Amino acid sequence: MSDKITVKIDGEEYECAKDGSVLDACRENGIFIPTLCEIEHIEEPFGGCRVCLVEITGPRGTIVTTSCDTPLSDDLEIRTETAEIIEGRRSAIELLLSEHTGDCVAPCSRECPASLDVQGYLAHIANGMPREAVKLIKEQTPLALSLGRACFAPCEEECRRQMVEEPISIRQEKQYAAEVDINDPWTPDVPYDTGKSIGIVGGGPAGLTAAYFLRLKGHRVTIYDMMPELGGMMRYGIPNYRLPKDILDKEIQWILDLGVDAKTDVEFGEDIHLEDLKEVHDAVFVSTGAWESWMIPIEGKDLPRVYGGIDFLIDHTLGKDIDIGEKVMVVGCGNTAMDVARTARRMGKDVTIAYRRSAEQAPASDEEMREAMEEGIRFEYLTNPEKICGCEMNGVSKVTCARMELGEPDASGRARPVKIEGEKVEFEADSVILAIGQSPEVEKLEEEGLQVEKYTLSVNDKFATNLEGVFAAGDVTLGPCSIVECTGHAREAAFAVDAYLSGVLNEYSPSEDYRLPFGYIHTDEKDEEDFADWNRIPRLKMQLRHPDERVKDNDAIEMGFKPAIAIQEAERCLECGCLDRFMCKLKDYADIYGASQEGQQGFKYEHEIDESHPWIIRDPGKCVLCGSCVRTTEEHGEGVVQFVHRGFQTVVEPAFGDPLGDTDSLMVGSLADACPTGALEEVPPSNKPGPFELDKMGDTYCMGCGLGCPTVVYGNDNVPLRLAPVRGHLCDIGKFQSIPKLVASQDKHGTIVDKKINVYASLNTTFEEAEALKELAEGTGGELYADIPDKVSTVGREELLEAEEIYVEDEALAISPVLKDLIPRSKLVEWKEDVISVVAPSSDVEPPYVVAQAGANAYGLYEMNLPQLPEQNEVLLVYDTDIPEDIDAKYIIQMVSDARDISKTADAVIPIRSWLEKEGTIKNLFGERVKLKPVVDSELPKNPLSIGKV
Amino acid sequence: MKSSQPKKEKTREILNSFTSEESSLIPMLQACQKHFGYLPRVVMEEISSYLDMPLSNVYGVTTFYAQFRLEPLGDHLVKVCHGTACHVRGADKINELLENELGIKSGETTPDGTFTLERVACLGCCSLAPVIMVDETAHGNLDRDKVKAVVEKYRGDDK
Amino acid sequence: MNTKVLIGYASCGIAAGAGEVDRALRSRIAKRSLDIEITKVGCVGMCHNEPIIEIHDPNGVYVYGDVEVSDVDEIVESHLVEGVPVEEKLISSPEESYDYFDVQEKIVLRNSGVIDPEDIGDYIDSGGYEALKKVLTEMSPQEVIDEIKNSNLRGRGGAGFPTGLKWQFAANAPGDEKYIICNADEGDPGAFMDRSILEGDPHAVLEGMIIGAYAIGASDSYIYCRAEYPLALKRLDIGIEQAKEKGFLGENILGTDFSFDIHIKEGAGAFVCGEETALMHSIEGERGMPRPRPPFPAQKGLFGKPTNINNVETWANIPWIIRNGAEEYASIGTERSGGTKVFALAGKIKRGGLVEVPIGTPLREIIYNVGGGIDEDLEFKAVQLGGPSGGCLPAEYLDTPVDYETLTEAGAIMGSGGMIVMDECDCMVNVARYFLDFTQKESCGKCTFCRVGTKRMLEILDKFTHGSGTLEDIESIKNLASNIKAYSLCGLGQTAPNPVLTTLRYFEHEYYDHLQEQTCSAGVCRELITFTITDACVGCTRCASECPTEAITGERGEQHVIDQEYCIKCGACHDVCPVNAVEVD
Repeated sequence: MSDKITVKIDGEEYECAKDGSVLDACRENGIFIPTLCEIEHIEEPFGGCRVCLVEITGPRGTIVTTSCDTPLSDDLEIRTETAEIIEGRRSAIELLLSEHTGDCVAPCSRECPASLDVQGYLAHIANGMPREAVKLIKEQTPLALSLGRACFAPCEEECRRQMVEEPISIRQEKQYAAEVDINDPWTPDVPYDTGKSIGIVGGGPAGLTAAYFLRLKGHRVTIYDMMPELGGMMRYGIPNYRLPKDILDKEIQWILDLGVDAKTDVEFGEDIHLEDLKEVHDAVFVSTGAWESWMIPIEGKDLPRVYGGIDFLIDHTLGKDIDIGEKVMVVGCGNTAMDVARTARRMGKDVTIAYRRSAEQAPASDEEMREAMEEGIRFEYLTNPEKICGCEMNGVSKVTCARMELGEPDASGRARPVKIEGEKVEFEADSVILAIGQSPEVEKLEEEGLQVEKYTLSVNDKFATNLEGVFAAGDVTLGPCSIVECTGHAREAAFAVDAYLSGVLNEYSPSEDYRLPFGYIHTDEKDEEDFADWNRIPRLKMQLRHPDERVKDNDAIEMGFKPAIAIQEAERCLECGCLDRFMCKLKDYADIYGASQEGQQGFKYEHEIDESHPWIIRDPGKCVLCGSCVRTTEEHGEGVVQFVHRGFQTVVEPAFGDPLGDTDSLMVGSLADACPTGALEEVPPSNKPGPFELDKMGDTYCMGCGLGCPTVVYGNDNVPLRLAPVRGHLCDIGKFQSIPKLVASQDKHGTIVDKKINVYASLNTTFEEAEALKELAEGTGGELYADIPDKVSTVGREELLEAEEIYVEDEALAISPVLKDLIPRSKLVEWKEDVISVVAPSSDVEPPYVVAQAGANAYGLYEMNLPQLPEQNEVLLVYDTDIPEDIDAKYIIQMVSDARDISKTADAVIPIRSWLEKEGTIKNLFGERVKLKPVVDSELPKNPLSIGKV
Repeated sequence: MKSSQPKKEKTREILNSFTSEESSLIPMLQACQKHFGYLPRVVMEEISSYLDMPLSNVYGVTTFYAQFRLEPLGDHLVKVCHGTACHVRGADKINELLENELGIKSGETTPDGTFTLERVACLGCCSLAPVIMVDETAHGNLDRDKVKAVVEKYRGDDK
Repeated sequence: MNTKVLIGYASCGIAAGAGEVDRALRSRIAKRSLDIEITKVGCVGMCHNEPIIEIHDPNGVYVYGDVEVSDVDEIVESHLVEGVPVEEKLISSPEESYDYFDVQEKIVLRNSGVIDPEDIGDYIDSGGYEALKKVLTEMSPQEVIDEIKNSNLRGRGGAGFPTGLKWQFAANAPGDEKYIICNADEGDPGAFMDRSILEGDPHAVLEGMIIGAYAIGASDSYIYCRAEYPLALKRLDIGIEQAKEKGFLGENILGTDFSFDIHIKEGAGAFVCGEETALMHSIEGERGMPRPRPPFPAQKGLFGKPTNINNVETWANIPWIIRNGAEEYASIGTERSGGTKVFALAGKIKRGGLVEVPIGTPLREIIYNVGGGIDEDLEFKAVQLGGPSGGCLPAEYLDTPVDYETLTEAGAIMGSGGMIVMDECDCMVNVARYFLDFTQKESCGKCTFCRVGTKRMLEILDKFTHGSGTLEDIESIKNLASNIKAYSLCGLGQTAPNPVLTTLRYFEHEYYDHLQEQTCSAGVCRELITFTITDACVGCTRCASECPTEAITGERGEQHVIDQEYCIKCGACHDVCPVNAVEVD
């Protein structure tokens, strides 16, 4: 009988292993089926999550059922993507989401219009890696420098740290990171040339962003801009004291250096038309911004010395001579009004701001208003200009204003200002600047044949205008908005253009991050009480120049963060977002099936997060009760956690809800590996965990003990952060304790002297190293020593696996916990003779045995038959281990691969490659030779002995 | 705090009459609860070591079944039947009345330790609905006055 | 014939006061030194008349119902001493027999209320263990299985799978060691058939199991019985001991090679353990969480061995079938399912109790002819069949024959046999909520649809009963219900939405009343009703003193008033008012 069976999946016939499930068959053939509770190495299906639904036509007719528990049989026809299946999967996921708590993404990121990974870049900064932070930012926007200076930082308004005391200085942190990068900026690769070209009209934040992302997709990009220099409103609308032009210039140049062409002083609709652009480009991207100042229909608005706010700022930037007299009234209280008022103040003028609503209602940020006040600008709230007085000849002389009070809420939800009858006030003024708003110049767009709705250019949900091949984003489509909104918008639009150029526009949908703000799991219910236990650490504010000084010129007022300050401030981050964000299956599936947390709503339990374990955080609110951890820990015979209670109350936790940290298990990490969500999450060995998307760095063998388990190493920027098993499990010693803190070459504190050297080597030393060390020692008249074990295993892996009865010492399991996985519980027996024993090196039982060894190459060194280390040494070279106690040496040199092991008593310390950096051979405790492969790039020399040779 | 030693020893004594198999777990828990009135942690720890089974398993099983209690009971256990027949005949009202009479919510024990009030699914005396069971005795065809009389009767027992 | 006295001593009788009556009876008889035997028997089915005393004298059988301690002396003196029956306490006599049993046909309950369940001799005298002898001496295992197949017996636990076929699977499964299990974890609220059978005739179940074991080739077995049934457990214990003494159980049964043992496992309180795989996990000492099937218990069951599970009523049928023949059994009932079914008739019914009728008997006959119709002669509204997995059928279905197929078609299920009658004062939304609340609480928590889905459904029903539901909620509860039905792991989840779906099917208008009119016409949903005191009030102050929130005021002798602001709508005033002056709107 054949052990293969033919099944039809989605219309295709496949040969599959006969004794598997439908899920196995699909998986075997690369057909995606979502599942949360299925564990590959456990044969019996659990059947709890109900997500793996498929439609099967077979002996029971056509039914939709779970695939994990449906065995294969002849003549099955399986369909994996019918509407009913998708609906069923979505329903299951929505039900799971409805009892799920916690943020996928932190509120700061969720609120960021450009969906920057705030938590991620703050973590990089806190970890002392600002350049990694910039890299992360540049994945989402090319405007790191500009945003660092001039973003209105909606993230800070949402920052949950304010529930402890104050929000993190997020914008300033970004500024710090971006400016660390300024002179040698990290630049992504432009992969290839697609041969397609795009004309971008308007080189402001939207146009520059689109140029950047389209260029990175390999397209040729030309920016056309009407102004003499690129930057748009960043250059002409935002004053120099906020966004210094030299910084902006660097940012723009960096974008142009990617190979972006720019033509300036070319006005759209005048010097160049859509027709021309369409002729030379494969697509056109309109991002002409919103350059027209709004004027209110107020008497006297046409008098001389009445300006539009944006016009004033542009003229000022262009260095034009502007006559605004001495007393200036600025109308409006948005960010443009602040820019206008503060620019006027820097011109030495007496400035008053009139605003018809209250201070609390003002759209300008508190920070800006405070700084404006410090600079001597007066604010007149609840004051509505009704008439600008003056004459054609002399211009403005005064402004008559009505006093207002707050009434009922209006459509925007804000209390409507209502005029107080009879209360009027007059202000003397030489000029009036109306900073109440601006809009795109729509007439020009219409003339080009573009469809306009009200004040903005119309685009569909794929950013396409009414004209084929013409796309648009930014202010011109949104109305006036911020840099960060424009850059986020334009990025998504650029992806749409790229899709268009690749002929797949109909497949385009906004990128996942961009969609996040609209419907993700969040915990709005948090309040100050939830953070009552946190230490109060005040926000570190960036130093500003003194107000008296800063009004004298137009130079930057922010003085920047010093690295230590930036790190300290970033450390305040509460890390609200889920650490499993990049690995969570529930989140993935929610995205795939369009499940939202609004789909099903209702009561959910509040659970305490358990942070008692050194390496694992347990957050029951994120548990989907898939049982993977329970079944994994049962497999180890440990039962660290178990299902508790039943029904909707069910949780997975240790007995009596005890802290996870109380467990003496050394296999807890494998439970986190099994967890499909962030309910059991390992904490990476860095100051702040991120989360970051980790890169696979390579495969090697774990050196945590003599077993030498095959391991995959993940990390960032050449820093190893996570070890995962290649198959089976890794124990906690391997997963968490064996990741070295790498030593750098500058950690070198001495050199090897030309004396008789005894070498004392770690049990992790490879054969190659041992040979070299032996040669070194013998060359000086010394010898190679190691604390070699008393005995090594007498049986191999096969014998152990085939044994019917095995005796296992607890002490052995403490050294090599993974041994548990190799020995089924049913084989465990009390010690007796002739039974295979798994023992610690100090054990006194008789062979046959497997000896658990702490040193990865203990077996190999044992075979080298090395002598015992003498008590007296002239020079002792301690190789990759602790300096042995009770040993005398005149001079001790420590060669060390893990910064945590550096001895204070050594006379010299020499860095060498850690096990993750080196290549070499060891013999595991079964006597099998395995080859270590370097997974971390090292600047240290391959041959450690070459470092120190005098 | 009282020493847990006597409890431990008594538990051992009870466990010795069972075989050390996983399938003995529930009968063991039942036997221990019968003796102690509830299942204190130390009892579960003893069972765990007797069966060489992780404590979390013992705890997981204990919390799954409605029969097992982790807290001591009052002198009298009042079970209010919420079977279908009792439900349509006003079990909720009987429950509410008992809560008022005893001054506790279902699942709680009176501060003086006299009564524990509990909702149960069905006592199987559907023809006598509504029914409550105090300790081992069922009381059926209840109305407000009968409920009060029953409570008074058991209250009186302790005076 | 000697005069014999039987007293109903099942849980229902004891709850109704049979203990006191028994003591009074014995002491009076002893006092008068009468040579009369008193036998404690199980439930005869007329739970509504408990405590019941049956006197068998040379004239025939006299049944006294609702006997109180104060009646005992008179009955003893008049009937037993003087020979004159006490007419006013009689519910049945040779002259005028009780019509309660007219429609009934007793197979399963043949001995219940008739024999002493604690005396195996009584059982043997009534033909007990004859079937076992027959099987062991005259029949091969396959013949037994064929006989059961031919009887058309279907599982009485709920799903109605043909018993013979199930046995065949287990018999065919490879393996030396096999188990059988008697599921006595009767968890449906409102069902007490199994309890009564175990209390009234434990040997019928034991004999059935022994026969089953022989047929399947099992040597060991478990009875998984609720801990809430102490009397049943006790009688099973006694029964097993006695059966062992008599050689019906244990090694080399009746001198043959066949050996078989029965163990009792007390359930620990989890409705889901009625599900076969959950039940087996529970016996194995684990949490009672179901697992996916296949593998079916017949292939891989208890401790990984082939296992056959039947419920109490199914087992109790077996000896009868063997003794009387498959043909005879199949002739009762319908073409597709033979025999009788025991129902626990309760709710708003005049004569609640245990009823055994041929399968296919129309509901009306059961409810009106056996049950005597609706209590207080109110309007019939619905009958709930099959407990939390079943459904509520309206009056249109009263003439429906009760069998597996028609009930399933109608949206209900035969289930284990709970039959709860409801009248116009029952709110169907509330009833649906009641059942869902039950299953939701009893969900094991393993699978998503059952654990979270039923909770979300319950929350929507809560909105309805609070008057805050919307039309979209009706749609979403229907969607949710169909997903839960389709995709839950085990029967508990797959049937949990049934009570909601059937009430939506037959009583949808009541849902709309709740959410559109904000009314509960049955006067059940508190948020939607108000209590007022009419001028019929005589000012007795009873309501005011009962009111837990002191919402009622009024002078003695004058009409009282309810302050609606404080009223919590507990209904205490309504219940205690001697003149029915409290109105519910």
